[in-house]
Amino acid sequence: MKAHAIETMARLAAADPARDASPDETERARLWQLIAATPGEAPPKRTRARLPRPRLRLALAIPAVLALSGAALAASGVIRIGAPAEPVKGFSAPLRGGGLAKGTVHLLPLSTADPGGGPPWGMRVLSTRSGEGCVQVGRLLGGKLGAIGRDNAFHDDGLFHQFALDSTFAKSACTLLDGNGRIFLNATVGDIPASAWIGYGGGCVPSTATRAERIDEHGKPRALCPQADERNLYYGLLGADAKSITYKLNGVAHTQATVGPEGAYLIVTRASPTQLFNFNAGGTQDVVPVDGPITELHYRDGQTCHLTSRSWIGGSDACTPALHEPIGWTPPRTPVPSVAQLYAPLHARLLRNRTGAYEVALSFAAPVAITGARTTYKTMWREAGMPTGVYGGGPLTPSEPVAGQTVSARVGGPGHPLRPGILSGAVIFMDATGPGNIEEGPGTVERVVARFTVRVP
Amino acid sequence: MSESHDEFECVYQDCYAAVHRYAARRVPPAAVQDVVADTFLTAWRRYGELSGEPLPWLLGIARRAAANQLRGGARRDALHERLRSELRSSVETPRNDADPQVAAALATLSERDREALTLVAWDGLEHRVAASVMGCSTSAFTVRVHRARRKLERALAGQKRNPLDVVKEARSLR
Repeated sequence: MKAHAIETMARLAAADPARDASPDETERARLWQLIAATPGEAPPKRTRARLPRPRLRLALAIPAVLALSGAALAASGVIRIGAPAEPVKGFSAPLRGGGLAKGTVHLLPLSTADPGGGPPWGMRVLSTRSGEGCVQVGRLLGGKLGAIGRDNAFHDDGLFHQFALDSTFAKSACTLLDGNGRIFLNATVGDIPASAWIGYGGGCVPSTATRAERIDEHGKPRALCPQADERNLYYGLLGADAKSITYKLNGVAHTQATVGPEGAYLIVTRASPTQLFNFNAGGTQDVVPVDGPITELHYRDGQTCHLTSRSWIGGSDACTPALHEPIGWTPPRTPVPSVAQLYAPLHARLLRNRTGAYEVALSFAAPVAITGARTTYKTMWREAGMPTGVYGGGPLTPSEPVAGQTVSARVGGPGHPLRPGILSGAVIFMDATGPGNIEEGPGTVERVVARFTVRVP
Repeated sequence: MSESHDEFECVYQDCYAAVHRYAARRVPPAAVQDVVADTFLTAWRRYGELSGEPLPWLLGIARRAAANQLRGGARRDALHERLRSELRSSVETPRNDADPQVAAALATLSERDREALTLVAWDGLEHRVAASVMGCSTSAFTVRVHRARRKLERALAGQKRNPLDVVKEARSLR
């Protein structure tokens, strides 16, 4: 993350109105007494996902000897193959939305040395049937992408664990495919353990992690990584027109050729002990590389994109001199439906639910089908007295309707009582026509399908 | 005591401070304890639905509780009222000497952008956890934070502009 970004987030953090607030211990104890005395006494029993039996037995059987042998193997530079990393159920981000598009998984012919030695880092790309492209990054061994059992991952067994397509989560970066089905993406991800594993089950966080970040998915404390085991990853796909990138580390400029028709690059550095973990863990994505050491992008036609501290703004600020980034990106082939094509009568009914609270039921026949990640319907609404700029929104069912299918939504309901007065809103169709993900950015067209107004008693 | 009772007490003790701070950042001081009480009471009743990390789940509940507080129209059941009346006696007033420029810049952002930024910068959540609080994917959250940060920077930069420059710009647009 570049200095201006860190400064902004640090300034925002410093403006935290509760930074010095500490809860009153008497109130804490008193609330607990009241909750514990709630009629019904015990809360409902929690249903837990159990470890598969073989894994449980393995976990119980792992003695310290194995950890020692793993450490010895790693130290000697010999990495043996272990069991594949298990897919992470519920976190199959790359495969969400239509599943994997056949024939799109490619391990790119690229490898980047790790600053601490051992297997190099590599990249794999894949596309989904809903029109998203994803990049996975990990350690390479024997032509496979995976993680090493170290840094508290895989019981520190020192073995190589191949990634399933959905076994990684935050290291995967996804974006919408362009009109030719290609991926254009630049990602910066900080503070990744050298194991390359930050999925569920093991892993560690740096000493700069906040208290909340030090708690794992089971509410248990996470291990702290040695600072020397923290890595920053800068990677991306610049397209077939890219030739090379120039980056600067420790004041020395390096130029590295991009790889393949994807125009791939990958830089791995040691993380700085002073960088802020929580601002980097999720990383950033942009049409050009930002928040990293890359200073120039070179293209086959001789053009060079000089990156500046303003490149994050995008558009004409992305490069100096201005270039039409991402170069080679093709707009989607399907035109945005017209206002007339999107017109649909909307039914809004005021109801009272079982608790007597008012709800508004919305329904309409989808004027056009939602067939991929590029388009979606959403609701936006405002209640009486809402501050300027604040609006409500909610999910629509189904999320990917066929044309003519009834789509419905509820406004209000249990736990969300509606305020008396005028409730007004709209159903909106969103279509991402530019690079990047569907969002409220300038590349995303928003068209009103229908508006509604209801008086809530 | 049952096993779930003991488990919930651990969750309560571990997460109370984080939920309290979350509420203190988002609602007036007098309503903080209400939001905390609403959150844990709801969590107690719906503990069986918790399948992952407790903190993002609790913050998700707290987010809705805070929204209800801000709307001011939340229905109160008898227990909520009892909790409120017993806890109202000594609510803590958080120190609030926030950077007024940052506060003004934050106010220009949409609720979604503001929430995304503050979950990271104030609540210290990593993107995966914050995404589950907001009910979106990590990649969508990451993009949201990135864009929200840009908007915040633009808003802060706008505050720093020399009023004379603004006048000049306005003239040049005529």
